[in-house]
Formats: sequence, C-alpha cells, structure tokens
Amino acid sequence: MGWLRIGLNDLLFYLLMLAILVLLAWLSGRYDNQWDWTHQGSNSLSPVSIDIVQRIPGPLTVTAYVPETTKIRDQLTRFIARYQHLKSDIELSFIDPLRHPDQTRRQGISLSGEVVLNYNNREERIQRLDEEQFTNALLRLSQTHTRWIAGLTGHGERDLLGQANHDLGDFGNALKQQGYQVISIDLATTPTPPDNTSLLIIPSPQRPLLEVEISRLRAYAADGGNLLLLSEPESRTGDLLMRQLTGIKQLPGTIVDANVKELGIDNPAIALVPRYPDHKATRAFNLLTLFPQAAALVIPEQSMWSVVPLLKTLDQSWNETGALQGDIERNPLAGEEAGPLILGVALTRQVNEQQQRIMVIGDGDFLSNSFLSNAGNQDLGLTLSRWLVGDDKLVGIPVKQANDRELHLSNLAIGVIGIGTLIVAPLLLLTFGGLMVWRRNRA
Amino acid sequence: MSLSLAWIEWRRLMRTPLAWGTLALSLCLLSWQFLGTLESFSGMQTAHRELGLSHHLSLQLYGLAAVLILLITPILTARAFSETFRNGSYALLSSAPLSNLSILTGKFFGVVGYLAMLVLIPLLLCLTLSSGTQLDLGLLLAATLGLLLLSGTFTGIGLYFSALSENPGIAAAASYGMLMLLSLLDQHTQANSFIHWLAWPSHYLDLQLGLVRLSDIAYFLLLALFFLGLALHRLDRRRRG
Repeated sequence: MGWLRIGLNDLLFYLLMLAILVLLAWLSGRYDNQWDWTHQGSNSLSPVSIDIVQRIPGPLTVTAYVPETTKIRDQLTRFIARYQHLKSDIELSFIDPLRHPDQTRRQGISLSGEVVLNYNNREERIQRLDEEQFTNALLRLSQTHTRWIAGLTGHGERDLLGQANHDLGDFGNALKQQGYQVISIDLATTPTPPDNTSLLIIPSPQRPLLEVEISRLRAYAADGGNLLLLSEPESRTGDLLMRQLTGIKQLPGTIVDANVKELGIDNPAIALVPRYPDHKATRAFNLLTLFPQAAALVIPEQSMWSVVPLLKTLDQSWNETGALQGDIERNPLAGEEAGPLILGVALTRQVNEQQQRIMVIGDGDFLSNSFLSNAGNQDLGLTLSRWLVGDDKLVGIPVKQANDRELHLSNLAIGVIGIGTLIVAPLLLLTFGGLMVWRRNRA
Repeated sequence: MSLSLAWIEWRRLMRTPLAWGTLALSLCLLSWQFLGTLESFSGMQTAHRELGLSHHLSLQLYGLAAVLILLITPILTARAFSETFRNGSYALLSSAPLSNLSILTGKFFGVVGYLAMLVLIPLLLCLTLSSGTQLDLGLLLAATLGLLLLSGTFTGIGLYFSALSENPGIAAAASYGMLMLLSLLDQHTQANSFIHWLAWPSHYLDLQLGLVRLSDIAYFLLLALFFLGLALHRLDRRRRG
C-alpha cells in the first residue's frame, strides 16, 4: 500500500508541474514582446507599413493557398506575424489547393502560394508576397470611398453584369470585390455618364453608335473622363470610335502568334504578351496574358496625348487578313505587318489640373467570362482599371539590402582561415587536452 | 555553494579526454560547415543574394551547432547522477551538508559552463571574417543566445533522466528519445497547440533570424526549469529512501 501512495504522490506532482508549465506557456504567449537584433531590422516592418497597419480598424482575414507539406507555410506564418505583432486581429488560415480543388477553383486561384485578403467583405489578392505588395493591398482595402465604373450598353457590347460566355460578368464581379460600384449605362437615354463615374468602359460595341451618343462621348472625353475602349478585329464601329476619340487606328485582320504554340495552345489566333514596359499602369504586374482574336493598333504620329504602347506582341506574330485555317503565312502585300504589334495603348493628358487616362485595347475577349481566368488576364484587367480610375497610388517600400552581401577576402586569407579552423585549432585543442589529462593521471 | 560545485564539476569535466575530444571534433565539424557555407555563398551571384552572409551563417552554421549540442549533451549528463548512484558516491555526497538543490544546480551550471565553450565556437568562426565584410553582429549574438538557451534546456532534460536511472546508458538513451521527440513535435501538429509549442526548432529559428522574443526565451527557461524540478523531486525521493 505504501508503494501505491508514493506512486500516487509522484503522479500528482508530475501533473501539477505539467499544469504549471501549460499555464506559464500560455501566459508567455499572451504577454509576449519582441526585439529585432538584426542590423537592418530584417524582422521588422518599415515605418510606412506600420503606419498603414495601425490605421486599419477591425478584423482582417488572410487565406493562403499553399500545399500542406511545403516550407512556404512557415515562411508565410512568420511574414504575417510581423503584421500580427502590430494588429492582433489579423487571422491567417491555409487551404491546401490539392485537397480542396473546388474551393480553389471557385476563388480562381491559379498559382500555388496565392494569398487572399478579406476585409469588410472586400478582397485583395497577392501572387508574390512581399512587404510592398501586402502593405499596398492593405492600403487599397482600407480606402473607403466608392468609385463608380460604368459599362456602355445598347450596341451589342459585352455586358459588365452579363453571364454569357462573351460577357464581362466575372470581371465585373472582380471589380465589385475590389470595392467598385459597377453599373451599365445607355447614352441614348442618359445624356451624360453620371458625375461620379470614375471610368467608362466601352466593351466592343458591334453596331454603330447614334450621332448624339458619339457627341456625348466626345464631350465626356473632352471633359477629362477616363475611358477603357475595347475593340475587335474588323470592327468598323470600334475602329471609328477609336479614331474619333483618340486618333488611334486599327489594322485589318486578326493577330496570329506563333509563340503560343510553345505554351501548348493550338489556336494561332491568340496573342501572347509576356512583358510590360516600365509604366505606372503595369509597374507591379509581371504575369503572362493571352489575347484571343485581337486586332493590332496603329499610333498616330502626332497626338495631343502622351501615348505609350503598353501591350505589345512578340516577334513571329502578324495581323492575318485571310482565313485562320490550315497553314498560314504572313503576306506583306495584303497589308500584314510583322510583329511586334501594338495591342494596347495607354493615353494620358492633363485636363483641368487632373490627369485624364484612356486605355485602348484591340481585344475584348481577354476579359470575357470564357477567357478571364486564363493566365494573368483578370489581374491585368484589375491592374489597368485601378490605374484608369486613379487608384494606382503605390507606397514604395525600399528593399533592405544587407551590408554583408559581399565578402572581400583574398584566397590566401580564406585558405589560412580554413586550415587554421579545420586542422590547426582542433589539433591544438587535442594536444592541450591530452596534456591536461596526462598530468592529472600522473598526479 | 552551488557555484563552487559548478566550478568543481566543470574542472572534473575538463580533465576527461571526452571533453577535449568533443571540443576538437565539434570545432572540426563546425569549421567544415562554416567553409562549406562560405563556398556556396561565394558561388552565388551578388544579385541572387537576398540575404547577407550573416543570415546564411546563422541558418547553416548555427543549425549544425544546435544538432551537435543535441548529440553531445546526453553523453555529458548521463553520468551526472546515474554513476554516482551506482558506485555509491551519491550516498557520500548526500551525507555532506549540501542540499539536493545545490547539488543539482552545481551539476547543471557545470555542464552548461562546458557547453558554453562549444556555443562560442560558431561566433568565433564568424568573427574571423570581420575584416572581409560587415557582419551583422546583432543577428549572430541572437543566434548565440539561442544556442546557449538550447544547451540549458537540453542539460535540464539530460539531468532529469540521469536522476531517473542508475544506468548511464539507459539515461542517455532516454534523453535522446526525449530530445528527438521535442525536435519532431512541430510536424503535423496544430500551429497554436501546446504540443506544437513544446518543439524547440521553431523557437530556436526565431533567434537564428535575429528576432528575440520573450515567449521564445520563456520556452527555453520554462522547459529547463520543468525538468530540473522533476529531477529535484526525484533526488529528494531518493535521499528520503
């Protein structure tokens, strides 16, 4: 019986110690503090980020689409912890895209490692997670004013609220999730776009606009309104509108691109844009985009705008005027020009002390419900819209460059260090230790 | 009292060939890792070096140092009580006017004092480069602090198992088992759970990255105190018979 009592006592003692350990562990997490000992503060946020994080009230959830077994989860947790240190109601959760493909598809996640931020029923996505991207996403989420984006209707346009394959409904939803109000307007019944319209999208009209509509559009453009004009190959309406509003012309034919074959795409009438010039509109953007059935554009030699060809095809592309079947070759006599061809143009000018921004693209399919999820199309659409609306204010966060990225030691010095630490020092230790042990044994 | 006991314990250790051999071998292995890290760093293009040399060293060199301490500590601590129980010298020691607490803390600081020499090796290796680059000393000091805390925790665990068993081999094996368990507990466990918290690698990684968090320091101290408390309880039981 005595043995049993001792065993019980021991057990109680162990349980008590364990309980104290759990309690103190919990307390240590609750009253945590931290210091960054690195020279550059590489574990800390920059003052800009700190300022922005502290200005956001209310909970924020961060969902990362990362497979379960990768190291990226740890890195992400550590990265978000820098923000959580300042704002404790940031919640981070992971979804394994391999285990939950349906959820991943519904969110339109294309890359593993993508991160979705949710705040006040609005969301932002980040592909390449770093402090600049994350902080700018927070900044966009925290902006509360609503901006209106209007889509023109009445001439067979792609509908910003429509669900058909050729419509832009999914893109419209993506805009709504970014906090924009999306509406359709008809210029025949509404004399001018509403005052608070930040951007008017003219998505591939098929039938000619009425005279009165064109003059209303011109007035809108002359007044400094921002425009996104999408056209299609051989679209006379689109070509005419472009000429009248911006002076840009459309080449005949459809762009064919031999480069997409390497991506495993059989259709030659899909143009690939892999690179973007250093322009405010595409500064933070670096994904591939695909433009099915696109028209090439020609920039006028003289213009009252400052004109930048923002989207350009690669070499080995041309505007094919014949049938898109069988073997096709460029035929210069038919006016088919060799790539790189211009696919999208950004125009800016100062009106009423504000910058007016217009974007003309020879394609509307890339934003349509059928093609929006291809490559980086949706992100390009959102990036361009953000620039057109004037929400492109990015806070720059300087990349911290470590001081010790260079090592200036001669080979001789490295050799001395190597031999010294690898051979000489251990031998010295052994000799000295041997002496000590020997002396002790003699004593 | 326990400090002079620690000094005696440390001197006793330093008179064994094991201590010197371990030091020499560790220096050799760490220097091998050090040179390997240097070589891979030099092979990188400057544009690809997102992290500085100090970061590379603190991850690779201090990573190996932690593993070495994990391997060495149970060997050092296994004999601390087991052998004295067996050859009867503990009965002798406990008849002296020494409390179990001072005996335990003496042994603890004796072993940690020895391990502290090992802990300094990576820092000394890094300092040999100080003429060739601007090392991030704060980062290296944080990693060194991490190693020191790690050796304290591992020593506490080793001493507990040594007090538990009369056979040093069993004590060492049990310590290894516990240390391995604590190394693996953060795999496949919920990030916020107590079980996850028990694993040392993520706590140590914070310090390796130069981030000194109160909760990480508390982790190492709490775990060391927990096992030392168990060991003290065990010794008290033994003295009472």
